[in-house]
Amino acid sequence: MGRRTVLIVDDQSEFRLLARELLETDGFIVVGEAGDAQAALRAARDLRPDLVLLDVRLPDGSGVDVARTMRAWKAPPVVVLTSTADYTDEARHCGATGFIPKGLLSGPILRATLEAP
Amino acid sequence: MKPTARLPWLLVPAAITWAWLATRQQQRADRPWTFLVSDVVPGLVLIAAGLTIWSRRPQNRCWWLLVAAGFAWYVGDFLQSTNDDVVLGAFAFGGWYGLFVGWAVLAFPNGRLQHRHDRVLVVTLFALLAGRSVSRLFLHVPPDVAGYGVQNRFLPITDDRWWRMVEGVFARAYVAAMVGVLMSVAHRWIRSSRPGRRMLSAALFAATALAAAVAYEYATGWNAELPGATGLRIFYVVWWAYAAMAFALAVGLLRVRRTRSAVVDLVAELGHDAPPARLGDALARALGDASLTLLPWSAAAGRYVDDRARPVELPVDQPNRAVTRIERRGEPIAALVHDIALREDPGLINAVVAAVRLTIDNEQLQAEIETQLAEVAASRARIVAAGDAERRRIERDLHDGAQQRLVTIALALRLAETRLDGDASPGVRGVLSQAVKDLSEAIVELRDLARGIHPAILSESGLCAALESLVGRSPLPVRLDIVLPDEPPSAIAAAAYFAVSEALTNVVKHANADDVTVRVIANDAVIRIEVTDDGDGGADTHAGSGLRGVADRVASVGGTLRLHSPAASGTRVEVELPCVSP
Repeated sequence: MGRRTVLIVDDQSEFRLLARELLETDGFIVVGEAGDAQAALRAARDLRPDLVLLDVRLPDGSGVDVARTMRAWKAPPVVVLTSTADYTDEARHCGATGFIPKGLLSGPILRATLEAP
Repeated sequence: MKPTARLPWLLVPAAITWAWLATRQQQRADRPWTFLVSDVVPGLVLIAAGLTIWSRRPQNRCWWLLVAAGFAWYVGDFLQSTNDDVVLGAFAFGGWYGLFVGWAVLAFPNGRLQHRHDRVLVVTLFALLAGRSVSRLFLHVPPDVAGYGVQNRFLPITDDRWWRMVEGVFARAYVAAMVGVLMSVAHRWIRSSRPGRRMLSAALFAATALAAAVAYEYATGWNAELPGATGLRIFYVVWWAYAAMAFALAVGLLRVRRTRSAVVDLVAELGHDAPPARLGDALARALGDASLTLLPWSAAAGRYVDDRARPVELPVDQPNRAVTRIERRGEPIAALVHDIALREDPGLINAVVAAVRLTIDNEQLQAEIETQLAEVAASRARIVAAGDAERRRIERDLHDGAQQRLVTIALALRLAETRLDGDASPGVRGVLSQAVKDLSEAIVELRDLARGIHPAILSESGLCAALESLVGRSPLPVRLDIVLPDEPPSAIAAAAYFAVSEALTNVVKHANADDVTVRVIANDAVIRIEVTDDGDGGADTHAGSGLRGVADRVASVGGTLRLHSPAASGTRVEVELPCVSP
């Protein structure tokens, strides 16, 4: 498998910056960033990333709803939610592949989440 | 009761003695027993009726008028005396009972003469009887008058024309006066509505009996020598008519008293939750006055209002209508518009006024309490809502502030860790790894703290998701059944969430349970929550602040919390919440 392209969606620019550096260090290609739900949908449609790293709590809506919308697309990207453990059930219901607490984000953990059965 | 207030009972032995003496006089004339009974009983009935009225309504003048009539009743019996002076006295003063009886009928039921023509009638009766007494004392009486052998020692005038003229005038005028009494009562009866008529019926009956009796007596000539049995029968009719009349007056007054009692009983039965319209209707029924209207005073409008809160004018100068204003410390409470006949019993009106005042006072107090309770409930709901809003704000601040900063630091440390040169000492790598680990634990603790303050998932994903998350985090296996067609208002959702959260916390901490079920069933009106376990039981809402606080929160939105937790039989927490915000 080649290097995966990633879209990072979070309203905190510092988080996006550090996450980009972490993931690129670990072999991912960060193709874009978005700070809110609308921008996330636009970027995912335009950039067609392999996966979207999506924060649950966004300024203009819920990351769960964004994931649900992407899930309905013809070629849905893989979505991984980041937030607290409260949203694991929601992640399952909205079709997200997995869930990673933000503080534990790293390339290996993301890869493990994607490869988990 | 003062000792002197019992003195009228002394009239009982006096009356019996007086009646016995009178009967002794008649026995000299060898009267049949039917005569003696018909002669003695009406007098005693008059006295008994008077004393009955006195015992119930001592302020009512009718009582002594009837007693006086009873004692006067027996004066005529002394015509059979062997003493000439006693015979003359009986002849001159017999028949005065008519004055007292007529007066009592006109003064019925409150003991006062209400109209000028009534006072004229009483004065006329007095004048007629006084004139006849003077005539019989001082004018010559023919010796054939009933064979009583009256000896007039004051003015032995042999010409009896003057006496006959006075007697003739008296007889006609007396009948006319008694018919006047009848007409006066009949007039009042006709002009009255139902309560007035009910009260006056006894007086009307009495007046009719009286007029009939007098008509019998004087139509046949006061001393007519009718053939034996026929003459006696007429006397019997007259005498028993007086007895029936006395009985009717006493019954009439007792009926008024029953009405008064009925009013008091009615108001007591109505209790403090009777609205003015219902109270007015009930009073109208109790008093038998369908026209009675209770008009509460509106302080806001500064006027009396009807049962639809529309301002109304009190009637002025309407025939047969009267207005009784009900006040408290000079401030109007209500007005009663009723038949004027009710005023003839001031005690009845006083009872009604007191009862209405009490009922309206109670109602106003009840309304004030309900208003204050509603304000307290609304205030409590606002306090809880404000608290929830503050908790949401704090949680959001924690999430967006400290938590994000810690997350960022954790990522930065992890990035630093990955970029360390291969030459970095293992000690530095170990310190960095430990820092990342500690930081991650701090982030988890901070999230738990924030969730305890307010679960973000509740605001962002709703009650169903929040409960699923809550159950999912529980260290015990929990069955969750949810039927929640619509998302409830935030205050209701928060109350439901914290109720389940507290119940599950208690199960984990204290119950030693193996089987735990959370059931949330909602319909259009209510959300029913049930958290059951098979643990040790013995929980108590008063034992700790947790469930008590949940119960307060539930109550703040108009819900209820019930706890069933018998020892060793598990625990069931039942919560009912309305589906609308308070």
